[in-house]
Amino acid sequence: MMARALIALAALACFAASLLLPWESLSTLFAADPDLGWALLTELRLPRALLALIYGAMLGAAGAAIQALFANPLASPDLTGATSGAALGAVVTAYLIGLSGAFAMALGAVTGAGLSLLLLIGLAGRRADTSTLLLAGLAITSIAGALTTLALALAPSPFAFYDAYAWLMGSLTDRSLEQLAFAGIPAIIAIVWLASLAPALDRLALGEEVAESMGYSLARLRIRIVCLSALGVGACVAICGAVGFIGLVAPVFARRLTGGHPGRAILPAALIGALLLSLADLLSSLAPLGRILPIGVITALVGAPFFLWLVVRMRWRMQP
Amino acid sequence: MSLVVATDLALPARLEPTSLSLTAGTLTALVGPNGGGKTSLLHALARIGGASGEVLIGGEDPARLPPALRNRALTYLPASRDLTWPIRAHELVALSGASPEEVSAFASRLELDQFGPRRTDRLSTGERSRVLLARALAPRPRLLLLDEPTANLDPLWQIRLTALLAEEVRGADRAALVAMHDLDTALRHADRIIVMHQRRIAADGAPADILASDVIPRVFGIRRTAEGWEAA
Repeated sequence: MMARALIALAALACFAASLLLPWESLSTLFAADPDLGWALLTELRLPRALLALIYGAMLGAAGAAIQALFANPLASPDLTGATSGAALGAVVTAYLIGLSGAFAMALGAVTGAGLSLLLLIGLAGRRADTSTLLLAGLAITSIAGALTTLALALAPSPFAFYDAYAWLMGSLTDRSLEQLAFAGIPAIIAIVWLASLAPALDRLALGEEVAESMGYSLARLRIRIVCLSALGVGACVAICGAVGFIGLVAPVFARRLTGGHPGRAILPAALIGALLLSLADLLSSLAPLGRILPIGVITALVGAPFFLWLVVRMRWRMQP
Repeated sequence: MSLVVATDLALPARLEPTSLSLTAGTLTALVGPNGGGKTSLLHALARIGGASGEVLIGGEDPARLPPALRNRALTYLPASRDLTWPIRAHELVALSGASPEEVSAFASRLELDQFGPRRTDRLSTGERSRVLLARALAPRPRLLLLDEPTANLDPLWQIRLTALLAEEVRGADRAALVAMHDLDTALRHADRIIVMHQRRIAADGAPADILASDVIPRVFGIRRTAEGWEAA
């Protein structure tokens, strides 16, 4: 409980910091014109800080649920192809179909993420071993990536590549309150619903057969996790682009707080995900490079070595 | 009076339509050669894998019960002792949904206290078996479905577990159906033996009657002599 409270406090501190920092521009603006200062705070910084919390929480919760479902600590929304499927869905909707409104793109992304996860289950099987799962996820990610590039190349707009690139790398900046609602509402519904599946996912740890004998239907569980992860992650990807590795890293730490219980780790993973993405967002805006780094770059730079560390640990047969 | 009544249980390609009933207070051994259908019958009774047919325990269909009550109707112990996630042993027993008193009672009866806080991946297979047995026994269900419960246990724990099962079931409003390979244990400790062969019940009766009939040589290809079992 103590650890969870500390994580929540740290996430709140990051949230407050991303509202207030950089301090000079905010204080200067408030001194010159309080209305403008207030607008900077509520219309620019608030959506960004809230998106970091919600998107991070969504990735953590979906990662924990997907790992519990596949009984594999290396499964996550990005490594299973769900994130790239969502990006493909959003790109096709915006650039080929020509519907670039937040709702249409979110719908496209949710469909793309759902189809990717269903394809993964079809390819890798229900309780996939690590290599099959990762290879199938890699194949889906590559296909979705190639199709995304193809869709952008075929797009009528000559600026499609340039426009889409910054978004695809993951970005929380310059998002409106309306866009926040389109990502946040589906994500919060998905997180709460996923957390309610915790008892079933914990029993799944006893084996599929035992869980079924206890009255938990694996088929129903599978379809719920696919739909909820697709809903939440898809909506966030449509608004903020693809952010990797949070869904992989957060559940690993969360299970340390829950004595290894995979289902009970969903809410702590959401907390840790919120903290990690808020930290990454702070880093991206405060890095002394004179410009804002895409947030996906930061999570990948930190997350990829962690992923390698997990793989090496698993090779030594020490499951996290 | 029959505690468990199962009618027309079937699993595609695994179990031919089978009906059976189990009396309260009895321990029934389920024996048969590999692939005979022992595990499939346990699965069908536990409603695993889309089994057809009807199961009533004390007149109630367990499939209609919510998970919180279903563990009081039946629990199932699979033959595999593999677990996907390393969980602490005493927390695994608590996943049974039994009350904390029941969990700690069975943890001490199976002597889990010494390794309760340890993770299941750091236990020996025999220790893990005892943890999984405690999970199945703790809710004190009316029907116990156990697949090879003594596999991986050392001789002392095999004896202790057999005694524990008899103590739990005999004289209680409960029944146990236990799949096993050891015919001697079945003949000595069970009240009744069901022989599975080619995905259906080949024989069903008291141990003495099963031993006296020709079913063991016919199904297993072995016979009992003064020295023990030998190929028929």
